[in-house]
Amino acid sequence: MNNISFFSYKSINISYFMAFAIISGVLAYILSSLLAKEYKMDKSKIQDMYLTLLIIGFIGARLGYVFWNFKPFKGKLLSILSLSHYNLSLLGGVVGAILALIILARMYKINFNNLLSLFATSFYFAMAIGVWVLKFDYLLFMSSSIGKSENNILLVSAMFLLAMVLEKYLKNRVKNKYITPTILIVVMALYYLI
Amino acid sequence: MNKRILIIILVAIELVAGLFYFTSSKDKKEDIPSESSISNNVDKNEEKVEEIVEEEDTESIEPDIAIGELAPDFTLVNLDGEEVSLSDFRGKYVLINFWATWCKYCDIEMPDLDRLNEENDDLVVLAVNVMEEKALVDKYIKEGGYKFPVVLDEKGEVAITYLVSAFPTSYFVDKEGILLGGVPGMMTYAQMNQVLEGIRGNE
Repeated sequence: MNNISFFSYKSINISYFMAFAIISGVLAYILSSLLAKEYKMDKSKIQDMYLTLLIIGFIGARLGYVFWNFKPFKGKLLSILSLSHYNLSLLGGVVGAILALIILARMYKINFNNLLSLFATSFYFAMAIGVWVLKFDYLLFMSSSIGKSENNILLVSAMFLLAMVLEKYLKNRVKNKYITPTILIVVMALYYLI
Repeated sequence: MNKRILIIILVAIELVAGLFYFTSSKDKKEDIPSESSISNNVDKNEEKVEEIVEEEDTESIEPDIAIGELAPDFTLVNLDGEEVSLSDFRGKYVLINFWATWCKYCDIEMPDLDRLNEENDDLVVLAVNVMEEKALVDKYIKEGGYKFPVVLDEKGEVAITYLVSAFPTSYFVDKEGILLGGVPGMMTYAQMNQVLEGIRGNE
């Protein structure tokens, strides 16, 4: 049987989820900073936005979970605050981050589609790495939407990689503002359908 | 696509390939049961449950939890908010069942666990729900009309102690609190009875 913790020493306990979240989060942060130059944007603004999106995305992930599983929370709204990585929703996080991005784009007066393209690329990158946590945390795997077969992990990871390549390739080739949202919608739909 | 983007994509592919390679080699070393394999394992479990009884003196899962040693005690809250400990059931055989409401094989197993609990005065089925909301568990148990004690492992600490890596997982504990063995995956009523009879026969 496998170990549930990534690192454990006395009372310090780092779960695999935490380890993967930190690693993929840092990689996405670096990638967003690198892409800022490609998109001719201010690097420090992008970094600030990234951190905001991360926080809002996390809140959205929790609220999304509560929204789609509301019955147990009826009359016990305070239990929304007792969370773990087993009761978060990826879709909720993405929706929360997009709503925040709309506001941030207006605040910073930056084209929304360009911002979405930049952060979507980082998101695909982070997810391609992060989804492998399911190989280490079996409870999380079983409770996830792709927990039907372990082969799905590779499939989903490859899908996010492909989405990242498509985003970069098509964005430059096809000058259409619907390309980025279309890829994102298709990827999210496939994530839940696989 | 410029050179920088190409490098980023190659790095991403390399990382994914590395993770795939690492987890594949890890899988070869550790045979982690998957839910899809659980149904296939049902037949194999019949052989396993015999082994549990026969090899209880020699088999060991991990140093912290050992067959033939005292089962790690725990105290959890039941659905009425009362504290329940494993040691409360000394003098009876205990079947500790780790489960979750979303687990379809747990769902299939529940009526058999309830039947086993009802039909045997010397056995208690202690259902340990792992990391789910109390209201959700309460509703599930009430809808099913199950009568065995249910406790909530809210932080998953007991599941970690008992090295649960798949649902359902059951452990058998004897009247003195000695851990007799564990069965990963779903059991049928016949298999549960077979283990119980085996344990009784060994006393």
